[in-house]
Amino acid sequence: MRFTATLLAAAATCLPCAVAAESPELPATPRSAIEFGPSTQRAFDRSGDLVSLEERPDGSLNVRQNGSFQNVSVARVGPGGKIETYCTTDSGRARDWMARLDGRPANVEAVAPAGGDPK
Amino acid sequence: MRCVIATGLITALLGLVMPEFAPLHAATIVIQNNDGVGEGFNETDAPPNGNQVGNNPGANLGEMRVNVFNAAAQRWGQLLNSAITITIAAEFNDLFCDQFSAVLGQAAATGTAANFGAGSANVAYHIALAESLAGFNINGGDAEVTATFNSAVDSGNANCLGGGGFYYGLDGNAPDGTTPLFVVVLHELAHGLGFSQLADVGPGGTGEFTGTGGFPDAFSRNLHDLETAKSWDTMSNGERLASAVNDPDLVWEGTQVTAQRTQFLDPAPEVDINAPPGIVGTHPANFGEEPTIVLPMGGVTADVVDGDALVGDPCADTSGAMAGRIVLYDLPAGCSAAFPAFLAEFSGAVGVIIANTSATGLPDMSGQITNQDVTIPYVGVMQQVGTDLRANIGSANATIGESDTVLNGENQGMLRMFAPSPFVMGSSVSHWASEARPDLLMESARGELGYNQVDLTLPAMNDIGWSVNVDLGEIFFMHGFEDP
Repeated sequence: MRFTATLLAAAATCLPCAVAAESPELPATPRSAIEFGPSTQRAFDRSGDLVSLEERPDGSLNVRQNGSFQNVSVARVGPGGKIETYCTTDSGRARDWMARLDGRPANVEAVAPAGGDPK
Repeated sequence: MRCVIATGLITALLGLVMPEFAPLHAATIVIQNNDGVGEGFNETDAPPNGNQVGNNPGANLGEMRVNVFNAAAQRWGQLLNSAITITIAAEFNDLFCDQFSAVLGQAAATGTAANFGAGSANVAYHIALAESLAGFNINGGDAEVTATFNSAVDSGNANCLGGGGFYYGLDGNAPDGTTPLFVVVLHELAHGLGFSQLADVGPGGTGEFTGTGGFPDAFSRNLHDLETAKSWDTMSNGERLASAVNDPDLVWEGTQVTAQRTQFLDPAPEVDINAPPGIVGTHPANFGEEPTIVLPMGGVTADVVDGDALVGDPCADTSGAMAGRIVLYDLPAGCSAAFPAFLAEFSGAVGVIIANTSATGLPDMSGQITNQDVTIPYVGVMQQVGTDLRANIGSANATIGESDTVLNGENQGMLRMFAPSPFVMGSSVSHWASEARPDLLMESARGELGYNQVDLTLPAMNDIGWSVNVDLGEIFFMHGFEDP
């Protein structure tokens, strides 16, 4: 049985009268439009290029990350306007998640069954 | 402008003292305000929306931000011991924000130290922890943690996350449309205090400990790969790269988290195949994200039918043949797992099994339906389980139930890290697995958390070397409420 917004009552032998349909996907920022500013780009950097090392006479090693190696919390508008948050150290992962390209589409609504209780 | 705007000094308490560390007292954590006049922590405007205030006593945005950061700092100051003041260099700046998404904030330790006369040799400690172990200030006048948060979120402009802004209440009552700042700051400060690994294990990474000058960091020493039977500090760079996406085999092996996890985690779901004899067995599973799932005592047992064979589109179709059955689907490509579960329940199914379409790991069961409830249990299983069931449709019978031995989010008795596969576009190993239930503070995605909840973060801090100010065996967690 196919559920669409225009489906009429099901055959009496199978189900109560009801219809259900998926709503469109949640809107999201296109991945190409997500531009991290300089400090956030720096935060995601894990190459070690921004790191400075200080070897001290006592044999200790002091390392400064100079704004790199940070954990970045990002947010997106979720179902019902609820704000979802996510923390990552990878800029690509952040973009994918913000653009809702993180693997799972967010189908958010089913039209309420016309017959009330689905069972 | 730089100034110390508050202290997190708590009356010194006697805490746990690790034999190899100096006697300590509750940490003093101060917020260093790096904002200029009239901006960030010095903003004199009110929040754009009245529902952003909650119980925060601040007179304006700046004061409210100060209060939130102070509260988070004090929370960690209560729980961690250090004789050395920990300074958090904090500011608000305009970061990326548009109508649908934003950067909220970023934080980290400002550096690390190794071979400073305390702790283990040739191990890099996040600087606040290193100073706690050493008993002296290592990095001079520098802050130990850096934190930058997004002032654009509070612009009141609908073109930034819908205009809802940060929620500044010092409670767990953030209205929909707002972002609770306290829990995000609490989470980020934990990273800065040591809950983060410092290897380059993202896409294109080298696997090296590039953030430490080459030494393994104290956090990574607790990461263990069950497949290779190695910890991150003993791996080659290549092994570390592979391990970073090796869910479910990347786990935390630290003794305190392992011991305390039973205080926090609920039993994991599992699928028992009861028939036919050739495929009888018990298999790990993960729950769907719908919060309304009801799993009866003893689970649900039924014959299994192949949902993908019964319907043309699991995201839109259902069938009367599902009544009284457990319905098997492959993880659908066009919708979240909640949709076939909803439709199956609609047709009278008693449970749903979603098989991963990738060869390794459990499927992504995220996604909810906002205006409908799914009450039947729907769980994800590994691809092979689905293959076995599908090959025996007609005689397959299964039970969806709770494990007596396995907790949510663990593997072989140890808490899993967030090392997702097949999402190989970068993992975030500095977080717990998303399957942990109830939700934990240091999961990558913010879940249902109690205000002030630190849960297994504290035993993890102990595992990496922090002296903690509470008896870990007496922490009592009951779905969001913690004492102390």
